[in-house]
Amino acid sequence: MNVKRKSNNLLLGLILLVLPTLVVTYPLLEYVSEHYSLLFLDTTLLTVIFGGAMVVAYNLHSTRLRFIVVFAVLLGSLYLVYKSIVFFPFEEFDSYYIANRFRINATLFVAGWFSGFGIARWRYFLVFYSLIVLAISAIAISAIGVYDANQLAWLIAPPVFYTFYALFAKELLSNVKNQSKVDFGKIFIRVAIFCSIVFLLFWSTTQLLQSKFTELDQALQSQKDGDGENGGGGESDEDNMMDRNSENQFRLKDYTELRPRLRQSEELLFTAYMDNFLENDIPNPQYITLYHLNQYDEELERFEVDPEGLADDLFIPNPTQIPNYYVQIDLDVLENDKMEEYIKPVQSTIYVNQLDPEVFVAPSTAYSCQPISVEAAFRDQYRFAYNVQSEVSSLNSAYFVYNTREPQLKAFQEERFRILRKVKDYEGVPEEYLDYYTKMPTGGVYDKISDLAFDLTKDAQTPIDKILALRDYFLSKDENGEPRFVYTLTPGSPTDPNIPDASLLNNFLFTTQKGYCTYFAASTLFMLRSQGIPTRMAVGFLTVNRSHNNPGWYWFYADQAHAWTQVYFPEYGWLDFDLTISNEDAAETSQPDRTPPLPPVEPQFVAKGVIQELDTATRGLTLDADLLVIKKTSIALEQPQLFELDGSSAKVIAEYDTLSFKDLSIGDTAVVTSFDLRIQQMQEKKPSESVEQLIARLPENILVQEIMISPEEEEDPLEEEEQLSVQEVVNQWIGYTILLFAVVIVTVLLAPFVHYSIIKSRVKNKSRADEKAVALYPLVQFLMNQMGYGRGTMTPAAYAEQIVDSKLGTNFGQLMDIYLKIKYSREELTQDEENTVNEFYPSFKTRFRSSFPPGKRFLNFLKVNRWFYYLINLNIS
Amino acid sequence: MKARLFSSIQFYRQFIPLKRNGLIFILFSLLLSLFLRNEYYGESSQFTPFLDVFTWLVGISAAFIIGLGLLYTLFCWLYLAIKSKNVAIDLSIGLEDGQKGVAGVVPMKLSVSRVIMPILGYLKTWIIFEDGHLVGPVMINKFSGGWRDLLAKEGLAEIQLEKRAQYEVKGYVFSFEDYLQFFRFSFFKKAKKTFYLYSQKRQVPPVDIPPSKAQEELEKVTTSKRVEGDFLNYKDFESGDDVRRIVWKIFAKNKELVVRIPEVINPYASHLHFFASFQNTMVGPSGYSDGMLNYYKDIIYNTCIQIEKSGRKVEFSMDQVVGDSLIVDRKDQLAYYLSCAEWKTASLIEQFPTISTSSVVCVSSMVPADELEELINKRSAIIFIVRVSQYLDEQNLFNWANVILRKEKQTEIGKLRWLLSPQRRKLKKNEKRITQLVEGVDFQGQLI
Repeated sequence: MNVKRKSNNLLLGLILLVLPTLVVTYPLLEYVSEHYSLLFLDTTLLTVIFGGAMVVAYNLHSTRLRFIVVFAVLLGSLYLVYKSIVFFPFEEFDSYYIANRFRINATLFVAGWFSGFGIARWRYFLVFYSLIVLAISAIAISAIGVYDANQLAWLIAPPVFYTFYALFAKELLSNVKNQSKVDFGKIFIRVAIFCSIVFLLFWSTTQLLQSKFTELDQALQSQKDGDGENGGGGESDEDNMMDRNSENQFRLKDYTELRPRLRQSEELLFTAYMDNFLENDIPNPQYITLYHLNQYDEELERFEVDPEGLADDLFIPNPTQIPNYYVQIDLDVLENDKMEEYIKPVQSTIYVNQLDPEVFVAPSTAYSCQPISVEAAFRDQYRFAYNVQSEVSSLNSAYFVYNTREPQLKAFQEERFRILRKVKDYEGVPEEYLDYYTKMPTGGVYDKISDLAFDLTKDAQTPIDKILALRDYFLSKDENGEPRFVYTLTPGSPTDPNIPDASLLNNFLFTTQKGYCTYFAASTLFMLRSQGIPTRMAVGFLTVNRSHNNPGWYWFYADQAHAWTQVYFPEYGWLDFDLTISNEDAAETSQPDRTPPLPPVEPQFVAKGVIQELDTATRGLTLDADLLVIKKTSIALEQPQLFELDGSSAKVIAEYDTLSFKDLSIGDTAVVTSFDLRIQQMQEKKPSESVEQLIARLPENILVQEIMISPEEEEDPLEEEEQLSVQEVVNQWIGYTILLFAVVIVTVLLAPFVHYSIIKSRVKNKSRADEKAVALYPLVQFLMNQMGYGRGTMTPAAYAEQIVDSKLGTNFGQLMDIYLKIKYSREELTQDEENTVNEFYPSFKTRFRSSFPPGKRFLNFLKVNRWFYYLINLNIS
Repeated sequence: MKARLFSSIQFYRQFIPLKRNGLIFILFSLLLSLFLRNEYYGESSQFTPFLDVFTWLVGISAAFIIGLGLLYTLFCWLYLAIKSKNVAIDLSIGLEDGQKGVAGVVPMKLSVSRVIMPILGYLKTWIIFEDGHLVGPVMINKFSGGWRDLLAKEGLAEIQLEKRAQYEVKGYVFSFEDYLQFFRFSFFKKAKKTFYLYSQKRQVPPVDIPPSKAQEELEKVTTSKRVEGDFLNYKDFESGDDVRRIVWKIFAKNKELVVRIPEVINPYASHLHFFASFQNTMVGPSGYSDGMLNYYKDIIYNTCIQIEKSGRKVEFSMDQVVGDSLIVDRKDQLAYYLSCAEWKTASLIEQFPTISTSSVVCVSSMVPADELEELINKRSAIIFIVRVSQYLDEQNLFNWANVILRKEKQTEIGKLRWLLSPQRRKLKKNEKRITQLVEGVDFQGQLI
């Protein structure tokens, strides 16, 4: 008996305490193993070790074994095994590896053992354990990158449930332990009820906190933006670069950390066509700038984007937010780029492949962006395309360090140095501007860098000569005839944090002389700034001209991410000077150039608006448009205007999918593109002409070739759906469950009423006395049973006389006699008996009603258990 | 005094509404949240908005879950507090009639009516005796059926009660506890009840009583031993009876298991006067003396039972007055007498008048050897001497198993302290003298 009770308790403990503990510990172990990069151990193994130790310890310590003794033996033997690993004939490295692995497993085993002991023996252990699990889970969940309060709620739900469940279950079991009889069913029912209560309360909490959640969502959203910048990983790398607007800092560290990873990735980010050629049609590529790092934080030793600094010449639209063919222009940047001479307008077309289309890439200084549609044949390759207008200095070029054999390029280089030598100093440049771009910290390594710069440029008179002196220094050879500086992606020790902070720069310049772009750029920046030359760091993409088959076309792969310096020359603006030496691995990358996409035909008419009418028969539609492009003229209407359009030959596109005309619906926001010949023949907008007049000149029923359903309107509900999915599904299921419960409960509650009406109708429908008697018997029995006077095991006759008649004063006994006679004899009923039967029900009804008032009758009818009892008893009798 | 204080602390502890469980939970949660706040919370921390979400969620759901338990428990408690007059309590102990049980682990059934059970929580009942001693809890875990499904019915628990004595219940403390056992609301309800506990069954050495020592050896039994149609020579089968003596003929007739009473060896023997002395001059009131008393009572009880089994009827008397009881059963009567007995300091010599009529005298080794010598020299009766120190000696002082095993029962008392106590030395010395005494003279009786 005692043994049975003990084994029962053990079993209950294993099922109700150890198992849930293990389940809730699993994700935690996963987190821990990830956090500590236990790459060679998978979570399943860790869980098996932890769980095994826990189960064994729980079982052992449920007996009278002393913890200290067992634990000491355990620790001792583990220690001995650990120590003896060295003596096994492993290779030296293997034994180190195995010993490490053993240590982790052993630590986990001991932890599991201790937990098992705690659960078995220490009443309050689970209070501590569950709360610690909850706290760690909260931190772990914060780190996985979910930014929706509702989803977070359901992620934290398991540890919360576990906390209360553990509190409940441990008390339940410790109370059960003292009981002589263990009723498994009852215990599990209790646990189930408790779990449902906790679930319901938790669910109500989430519902109650909905308004709070919206508030918190905002905080999370801003956190997400912040994270995007600080983090960096996976597909969102490019996003992060772009996110600099919402937050003020961009740490170079993050960017440089990206580099090796980007280097490994050989995906094509985008393709650009730059209409920038030297004489004789030699392409003159330009670097693609993403953003500038103007400021250096001395304390944190990092470069930063400085939005509060001087007016920047960076144009940063979100191309996806601009309707097709509509042009977004920022003329302020042209003001800020301080370029006055050698200005050349350059048009580029960017075809986006793997890059996030929201990131705007263009040669500086870009000032306009016009999304265009991608030709159908290239749509599977390029997701998005836009035209960019830039103001480029004709002195600027990507060719600076590359050794080129092109005589024209060499001549070009010489020519531009000659021009730049005209700039002798920075006199006349506003002091504020100069100070801002020559600011650098002093002392320590910075002074050392300054000294080096002074030494290198002591013979140079002009800024450009100083730059060239630095270039020559980076390209120079040492006493052995070997290059002084080496380009490498792994410049330092394995612990290289990729931050060219003061000490790393010191190392780079004076000791190792090995580094990659950020090292060169940062050194150049400090050296030039120390010489009073305004310099900033630019981050973007290196442009490589690999083939001459498609002049002007450039392909940008992920490994072309780059950092370099830009130097300011009065009147010529900011020019790129990339002093990173022979970055040949990027230049000679085996990435092939591809076939450039065909540029689309210039559309004659583009309109963005809401579809008001649709005629699927004639494929005509009416668009309420507010943005128009008519023959290259962009027009934003103050009042949307209706346009009747002919879509009979139009392709319907939703983002990247081709749809049919039927898929359009009224209310969709659409961008229509037309190449209508009639508009082509129209005259351009005259300067004197008003917008209304231009529109009035448009032909009727413009033939459109492309209808593009705007992605925003299409995406939003989808996104929401996805976001809500976790919670929605849970909510739906809760709803279904509650509904089902309600239906079942109502059905069950109504069952006695339905049953009653059926047997009552039987009585009413019978006209013959004998049939009536047969029908009356169950009716009376049913009614009395429902009122609490069940027949039980009594014989029908005894029940009739002793229970029914004595209670109500009816003559049910007589009726029973008649009933029995009908059932068991072949004699006909006498007249008296027939009368008795016919008179019975009315008198019974009045007496029944007077004995049981309506309210009581109703309440008694709701007692379903009595009805069940009646049904069961029918079967018995 | 110390025990009394402990009891009253235990009693009043029941009325503190916050349980240790809740206290630990609250303190540790505070500690953890303080830690999280310091380590992960702050304006610059990326965890801050997440922790905000979690704090709201966990805080409110915890408040809901704990609050529900608290409110319902409070409701149940209030219901009892208001309707306490209607509450009926019945306690029944171990054996059939609910008035008696065997000492040790005593099964107790407590029935209550008109008390609402806390939802998923616990209703625990503590039994308080007149001396302030508190035992329990008996958990009420059965519901009454029918309409009043939520009402409590009864609970069964096994309670450790070592004393073979009379117990007078003063009242009960009803503790309502919520499902997380954070809170406890207690209500004390007076209700009188008495019961007594039997001695435990224990192996005793075979008792050898010469037939001549029967009280009525001079009077021959006159009544016929065999009467037709009567079960005079049979008795109901009891555990311990030799199965070979079962009369299968009777079993075949009326399904009763009876055994044939062994033939009486001495036709003259009938009643046997058994006198037990509870003199104790060695060990003062303590856990040790209580344990020894229990042991001594066990020995007396089992010896008497053994004598009865051998066919003698035992007429039991002892050195203290016991109120008359209406108990008919001989075993029950014996147990009842024993349950009333306490250690006495009165000298054995004072009892001599009573002893002189007894055929068997039982004393403990706590009687001074001198007094015992006097009794032995009188040679009027068979003397059983029970070495009570064996109660502690039979539990090994150094139980090697205890190095790796925990103590099984809470009742095991500190043996080391006993080993070092002067009382033990005194007792041992006395026992040694008694042993010499018994060996030295022509001793009629047994040293157990």
